[in-house]
Amino acid sequence: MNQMLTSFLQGLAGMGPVLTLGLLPAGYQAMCRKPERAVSYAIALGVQIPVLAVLGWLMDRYLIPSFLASLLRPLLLTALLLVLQISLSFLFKQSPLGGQIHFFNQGLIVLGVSLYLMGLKPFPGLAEVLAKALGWSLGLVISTAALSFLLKKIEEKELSLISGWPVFLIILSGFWLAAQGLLVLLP
Amino acid sequence: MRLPSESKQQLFLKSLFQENLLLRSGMGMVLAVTATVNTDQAFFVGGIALLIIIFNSLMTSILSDIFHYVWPMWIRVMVTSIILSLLIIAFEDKIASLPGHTAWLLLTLIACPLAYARSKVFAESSTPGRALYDAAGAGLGLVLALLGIALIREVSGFGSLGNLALFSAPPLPMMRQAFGGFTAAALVIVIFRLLAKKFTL
Repeated sequence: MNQMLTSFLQGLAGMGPVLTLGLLPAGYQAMCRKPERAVSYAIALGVQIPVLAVLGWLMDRYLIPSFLASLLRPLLLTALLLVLQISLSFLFKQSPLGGQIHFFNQGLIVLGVSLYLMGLKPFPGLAEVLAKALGWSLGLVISTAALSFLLKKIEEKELSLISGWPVFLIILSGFWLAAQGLLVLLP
Repeated sequence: MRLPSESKQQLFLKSLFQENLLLRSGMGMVLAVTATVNTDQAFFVGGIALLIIIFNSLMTSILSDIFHYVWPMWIRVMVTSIILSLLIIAFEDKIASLPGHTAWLLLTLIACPLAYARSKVFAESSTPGRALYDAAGAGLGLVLALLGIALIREVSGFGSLGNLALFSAPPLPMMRQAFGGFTAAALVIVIFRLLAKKFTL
């Protein structure tokens, strides 16, 4: 139980690979300009991360022979992600969430997190994977809201040379520092 | 934007500088942050991305120009994932000598718009020769941008450049972390904008 809580908090504080490894991609920068869209985009991501992580874990554990893992894992995870996104878009067709599910950019984070988890040594348990993925999802939603708010505030000023990507990257480096600080406080 | 009147050389140079995928559009920013711990890693990952960009563009152009068939995006994604897995297996020893997570971040290219952008925007309606020049310029532009970011990070984070020691101790060890990726990428984009302004690119 303690280990699960630690995994969850680690994910929440550092958002694991999402921030630590710089996975926040191009679509995000544009999305963060409008706070309300940014949050629904992050929620759509937050739903996909734990689902693909769990499905990926089950697939890795029971479906792929270990000697073929490095060849088949990316292909099958990508196929799984495509199926998951089509199903979610269909399921949430009537809600704003349905329109926020995209393969590119979002797939980078969802697939990246799952590949990262599957590559951990020793191979993690299902509860650990789920706790970490849920932590990352929640951390992602919270920090997206904060990121979007900050970006909007900063970009109201005249920033011709550093507007767009540079200011976004500078804010992310600040977030990364804060996440590292929080991680130090965890057991 | 590419014009039909532009020569292959003009296409190449435009993709290389004026419309640099990373510095102008922010495509492949994940590589700029994660694959630039040192110049060796940036060169290797950039090289693999260059191969993927050329393959996707050339294949798209050949299929659409000769066979009049536009292959669906999901097939491109699947083929890219197989090629990347095979490349990772083929270069296992080289990847082991690079900073951690290199194999993992190569795989994230599967869902990176960078790998498909030129094939979708240009190669579908172009001849294989023109698509090749365009993709080569775009890929090489990415490699150069990654090398620029890695140069800043390697010198400040390790105090050296390859085997050449430039400082007795690393001036800013934090540049080895993701923090360095974010800030160095921001710096290189600002330098690019200044140069573009000066030379009216």
